[in-house]
Amino acid sequence: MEVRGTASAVVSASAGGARVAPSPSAFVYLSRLLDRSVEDALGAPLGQLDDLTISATEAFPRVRHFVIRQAWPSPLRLVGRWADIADFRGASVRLGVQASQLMPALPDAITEVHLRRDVLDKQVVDTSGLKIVRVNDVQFLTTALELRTVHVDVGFRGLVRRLGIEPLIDGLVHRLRPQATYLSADNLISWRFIETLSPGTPAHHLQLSLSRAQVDQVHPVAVADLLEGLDPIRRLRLFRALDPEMSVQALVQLSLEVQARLLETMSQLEAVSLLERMPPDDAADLLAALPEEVRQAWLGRMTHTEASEVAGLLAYPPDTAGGLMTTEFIALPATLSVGEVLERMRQLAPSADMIYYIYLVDAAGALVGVLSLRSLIVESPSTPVAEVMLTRPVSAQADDSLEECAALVAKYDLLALPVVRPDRTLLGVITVDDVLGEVLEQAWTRKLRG
Amino acid sequence: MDTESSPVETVEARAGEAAPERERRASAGGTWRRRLRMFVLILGPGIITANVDNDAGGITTYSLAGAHFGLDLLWTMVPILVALVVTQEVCARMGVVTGKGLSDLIREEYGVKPTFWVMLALVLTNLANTAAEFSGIAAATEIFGVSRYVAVPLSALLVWGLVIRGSNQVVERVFLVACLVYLAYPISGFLAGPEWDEVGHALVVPPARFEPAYLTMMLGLVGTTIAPWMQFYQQASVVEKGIGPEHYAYERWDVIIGCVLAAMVAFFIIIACAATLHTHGIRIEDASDAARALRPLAGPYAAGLFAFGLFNASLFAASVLPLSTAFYVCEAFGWESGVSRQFRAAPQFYGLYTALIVIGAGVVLIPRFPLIPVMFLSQVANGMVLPLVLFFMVRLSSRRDLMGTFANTRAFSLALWTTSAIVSVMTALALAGLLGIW
Repeated sequence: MEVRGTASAVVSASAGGARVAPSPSAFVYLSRLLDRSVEDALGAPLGQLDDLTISATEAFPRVRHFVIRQAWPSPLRLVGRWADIADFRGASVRLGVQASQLMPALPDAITEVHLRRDVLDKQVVDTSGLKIVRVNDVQFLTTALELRTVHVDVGFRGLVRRLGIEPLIDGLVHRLRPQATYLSADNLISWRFIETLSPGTPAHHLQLSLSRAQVDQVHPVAVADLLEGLDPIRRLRLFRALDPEMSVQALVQLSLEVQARLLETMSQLEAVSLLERMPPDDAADLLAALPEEVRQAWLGRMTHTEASEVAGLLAYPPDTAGGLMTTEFIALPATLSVGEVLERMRQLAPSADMIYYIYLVDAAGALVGVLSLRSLIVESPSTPVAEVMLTRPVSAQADDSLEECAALVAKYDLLALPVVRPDRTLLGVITVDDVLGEVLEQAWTRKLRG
Repeated sequence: MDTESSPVETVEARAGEAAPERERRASAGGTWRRRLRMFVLILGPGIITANVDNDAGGITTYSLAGAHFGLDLLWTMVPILVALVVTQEVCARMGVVTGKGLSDLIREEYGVKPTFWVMLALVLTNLANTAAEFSGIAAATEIFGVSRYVAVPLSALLVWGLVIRGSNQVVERVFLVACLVYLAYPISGFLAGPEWDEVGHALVVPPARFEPAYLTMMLGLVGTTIAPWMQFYQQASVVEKGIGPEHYAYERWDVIIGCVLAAMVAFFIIIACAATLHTHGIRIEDASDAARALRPLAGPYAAGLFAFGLFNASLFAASVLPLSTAFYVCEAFGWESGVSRQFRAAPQFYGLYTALIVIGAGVVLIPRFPLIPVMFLSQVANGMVLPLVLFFMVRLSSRRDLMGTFANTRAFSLALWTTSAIVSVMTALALAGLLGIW
């Protein structure tokens, strides 16, 4: 293959994601290549360049194959290796091989990521800024032997280029405002931060960097915002790419409506396993928002303990203490010593949300006291908890209203409020964030209505 | 009970004991009742779209058609209804299956250039439609004796403010209920006592009329009933509502019912106007002329009733059109959109939205601005853009790789192409007609 002078000069400058442009000729845009006519080594026309494929596993993926669209009505595409291209900078793309060395294929027979089919004009996730952008163009870095995908163009200039009026607009802007940011600032995003969401690409591709490298460091709320902004199909795709921990945390941050929609687009199995991993109170809220037959079916498939917890919570109206509470809390016999409690805590804590209060129950399961994490640490291990616990703790009944619970939490400065039956049997715990969330939501609804 | 062993487990198990009986009770209801409930849940996108369809331009065009051509255009309502159902169904189906809006799909499958031209055409016609809505507001309020220089800026401000308020679902419902005022037309149509056998005849047998004004009116009828923005709006609201393929059967009924309702209103406006205006040789020069069609029902209150209906329709559509247009355009070009964003974060969205309202309302304030012709001609513009939109719709909805088993069948594709072809021919004829007029 012919080695071009301009290209070889920048091999060393393959700095990748850097936003500094070495020499302009080192970069080439996908839009400049697509739909150009292709001729073979002998100059015979073959068709138009239809697409380029890349290997998804590399950081800055090389272009592997090119696809030629033959003249209508042939449904077959011709596929060749990028190395077979001798020159792509002229008026037409010239191959270094003859047509017979290309491989005929049906359009969807090629499984690599297609830049036009799967990336260009599509919405992708910019994982550095964690937002959704639409790809206006793809930028390659040319080296002696290969074309590497380095940036996607999401800016206005990319649109102008695609419209084929870049010289015109550039000239105009240059005349009117030579110092305009339009001319200097290209809105490029490094390929490293791009995750495609198109259904055609293999799922593992998406999983690679998104779950581990970037999304892990962001707050679930940010991921939830991102999910809300997507259409249902892409939302599911991105959701599946998250790691299990993050997916649950982000899910509960979504509005109930979006949660329900998301789960309804999943397979039943997937939805059920997700429900089992959710905190029971959130799972109950979500199930309450679903149509009855779906709720029945899913509850029926959950493991027995999870299902009975969630179904128990579902029995209470949403605006009552019963509807707000979670059944994940720590309750221990009041007969233990401080040291024994600490030991139990070490075993139990990972699964419970609220570990700052330890509730103490008698043999019948009735609430007799509460112990803060603070006193647990301060007191000597041999002291019986019955001596240091706060007896007759503040509690709510399952049918108490949200306002009553909120008032108790506020009055006694509680992080959590136990919910008991009239016989003081401990049913569950309302955490302060659940109360706060509900109160705020109601306040907003009132404000918006009024 | 052994609290020593595992207190957490026992407490949890007890919470489970309270498992409610209502779960079991609920599933006992009959399947038809469940289906009905499902339908009511899904109901909406089709019916709302169809009702926004009867906007200022719509009422004006139907009134003009009845007043100036009597029953001669009534036959068009049958093929128009069929075409309306077919096109709206395709959009709903695409929305359900792909989960994407129409402008989104056009951009993803056809690239920047076609998208640019479609969006340009859509923005221009929707600007004309917005101007028509504000014309409707001006015409309606002037019947009540309120100057348009007061009513139009106030309405524009109100509409613009809607975006700041965020969710306009409540507003949507209020408008929808107010749409009941359209019932006045069927009643008035009956009270006017048209010759029903003539109506039946006119519905089936097209008269042989080919003069330019007639053809232009015909295209106006097509354009106002099957307006291009409706396809985008319908698909977007189906996606927004998150209706999945498994519920598509319900959504299809929603679409069909909406379309039939819209066509019924049109049908009776034409009949009422034909019976009250055309028979007396009255031509519609301004809105108060069109109001006479309601006299058989409302007598001296006809003008007030008409004005209320027109005002409601205009304001409803004016609050929907600019906002949705800004959405489609931003969606297509990948600009930030959405009412929850700051102005700085979504400059294109707010810019376009504001420009549509300011220009649309602004032109109406030009002294001696011809309200009725603008309301009518904007609908002709709709008719002209329609073939372009239909072209993309048919191509997209026929693709198996996008639509899977929901792709058009051959027969359906043929029906769609026929619709497009007919509308295209009408566009050509009407263009020729318009050129002939001038």
